[in-house]
Amino acid sequence: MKIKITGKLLAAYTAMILAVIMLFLPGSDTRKFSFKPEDLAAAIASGDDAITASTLSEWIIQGKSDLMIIDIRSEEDFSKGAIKNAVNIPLQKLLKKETLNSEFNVPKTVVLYSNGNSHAHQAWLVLKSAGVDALVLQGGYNAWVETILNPSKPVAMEDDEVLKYNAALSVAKFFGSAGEIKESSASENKSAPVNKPAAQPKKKKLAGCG
Amino acid sequence: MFAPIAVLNDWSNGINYIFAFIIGIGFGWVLESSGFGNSKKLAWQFYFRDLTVFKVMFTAIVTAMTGLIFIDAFGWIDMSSILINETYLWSGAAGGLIMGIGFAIGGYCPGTSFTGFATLKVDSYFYIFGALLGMFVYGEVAPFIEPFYGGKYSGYMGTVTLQKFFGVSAGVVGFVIMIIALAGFFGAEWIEKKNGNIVKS
Repeated sequence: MKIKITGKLLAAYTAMILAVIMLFLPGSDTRKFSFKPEDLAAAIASGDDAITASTLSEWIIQGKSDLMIIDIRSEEDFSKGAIKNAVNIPLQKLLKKETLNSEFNVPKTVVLYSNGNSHAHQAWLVLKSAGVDALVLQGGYNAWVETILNPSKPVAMEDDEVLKYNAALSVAKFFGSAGEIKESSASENKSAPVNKPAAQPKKKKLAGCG
Repeated sequence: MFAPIAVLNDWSNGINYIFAFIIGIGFGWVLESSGFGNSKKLAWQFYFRDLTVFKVMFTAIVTAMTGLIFIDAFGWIDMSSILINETYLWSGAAGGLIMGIGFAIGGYCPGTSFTGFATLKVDSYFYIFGALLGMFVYGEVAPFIEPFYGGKYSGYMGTVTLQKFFGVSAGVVGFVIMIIALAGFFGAEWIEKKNGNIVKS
């Protein structure tokens, strides 16, 4: 009987010692990077790496549920005007390991944009390697302003051209433009397009970076 | 098969069935020799009479957890390739409750019911029949309750873990769970001494 008790205590002490050691173990990064050049090359060649402004505007209007639009420009640029529902995660912050680990736990379609193209494509490479389903907005925010917010007037005043123009104008209106460059207010753009309800630990972080 | 033995995916089905058979027999043998083929022993944990099951389960959890945390720290395993089921909070909680009620009433959980089946326990036959019936009913009802089990009322949280949720390292979670487990063991022994009625297997 006595031996049994010591055995039990021994087990308990061992468990405690292991637990205390555990407390100080760093733990590895959860997100695994796997760089597959062939896959990336294939995506680039087939154009699966990018999305046009008009497709993106359709997705937003339809309310595509797993869509996450990330504005990788500086906070300053973001506050001057951004795509509706976009979240602002500047490039430096986006490419931090903590951000990659915390923001992309739930599978979603990520659309990246900067002013032009190159920064978004650099971010795309990293996100792809981290296993995130990412796309780049073709032409960046510049293209968005040109094609969506300021649709060009048709040259010939034919019926279907005018209809198309009117449709484009209503899309522009949806995104808060009257057919001319208008800076949307920053607060309007702060709302995250996050689809899933409740209990998302990352919510807090998102609010902090608006 | 999942990581870290995903290599079995490359082997033929025949070899995998042999592995499954060996693992299954081993698991069943451990269950039976721990007395888990006896529904009385399993059921009495819910009346705080015999907490063997509770202790064995917690031992398994703590052992696996400690092992993984240390093996990860040594860099012997790629934790990111380990399959973590996605969390559906509310449907998961409801499922757990139903499973628990069935456990308390029937005295078996699905695994042990087959152990009972193998050792010719009559009540396990009824239990297995009930489980199959439950699956059938669920299959018929599932399309009507889709918002609850997979949709917007399911509390979907993705592949979340406790350490991710609280933003701490895995070791901190391990430490806390170890404390809970130790308190649980000594609490269980204390309760067993007080109003225990250990079922002889």
